Amino acid sequence: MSELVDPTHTSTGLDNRKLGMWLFLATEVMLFSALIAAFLQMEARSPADANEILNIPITAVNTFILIISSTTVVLGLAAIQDGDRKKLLRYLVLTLLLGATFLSVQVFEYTQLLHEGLTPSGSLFGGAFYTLTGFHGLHVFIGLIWCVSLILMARKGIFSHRNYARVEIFGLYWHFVDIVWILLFTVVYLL
Amino acid sequence: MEEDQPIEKHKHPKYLLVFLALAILTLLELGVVYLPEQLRPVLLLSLSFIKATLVVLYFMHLKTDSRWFAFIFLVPFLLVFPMVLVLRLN
Repeated sequence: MSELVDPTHTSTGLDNRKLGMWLFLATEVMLFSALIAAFLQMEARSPADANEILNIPITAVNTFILIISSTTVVLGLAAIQDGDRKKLLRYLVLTLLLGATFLSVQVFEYTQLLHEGLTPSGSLFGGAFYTLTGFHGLHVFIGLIWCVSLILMARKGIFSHRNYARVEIFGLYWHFVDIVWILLFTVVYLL
Repeated sequence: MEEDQPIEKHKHPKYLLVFLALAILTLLELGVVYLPEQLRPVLLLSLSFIKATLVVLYFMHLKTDSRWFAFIFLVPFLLVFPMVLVLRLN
């Protein structure tokens, strides 16, 4: 993506890259709304105690981890907007570590649940649970790969107080993934 | 040269305060689980809605950015609400 194009010279006056990301996030809203709605329908057709097998404490910690990672992304963006390349790199690495921790805890949770008998094909609830949380996990995984590429770029000193759009756009994606989890935690685990 | 010019300090939202609010709201959500069942759905959904709004407004900068981004993001919810309503009524 060329940083040489002046975004204010677009026909909308908006940065095309940011516009593109917001449009993409709008489609993601539709995707996760459909998945959440499907989950709720499957849960309604399952025994009332279907979600009691889920581990709330460990998932609550995981929710905190993701919220912290959203904070580190936005602090990293603030740092590079002020020209601090070293801080940006530190915050991106922190984000990567936190995101990887979140995924690891998810994988651990999955192995526990599978061991306790909740399988994707074993029940309506199981199928819905793994589909919904699995899609979210996949989004986190893609975000981590993206974060690694940003870290490599940051190490080369590509970003500056004038050139940080790609960090901002990654941030938008990562915050959205966090928002989806905020909703998932409530709908799947707490309700 | 780019580095010779003094960098204009951006005015940043208070991100750490927002994080604190998110942490407190998450703790409150955990507390709601101990309340009577009838209260739980409204309280939990309200708390998670507030958390999501904080992230969208401050972390995603929708509060200060162009209204077009907010419009683009909110339009799908116009489709989502009827969908959820129809499914609930079924």
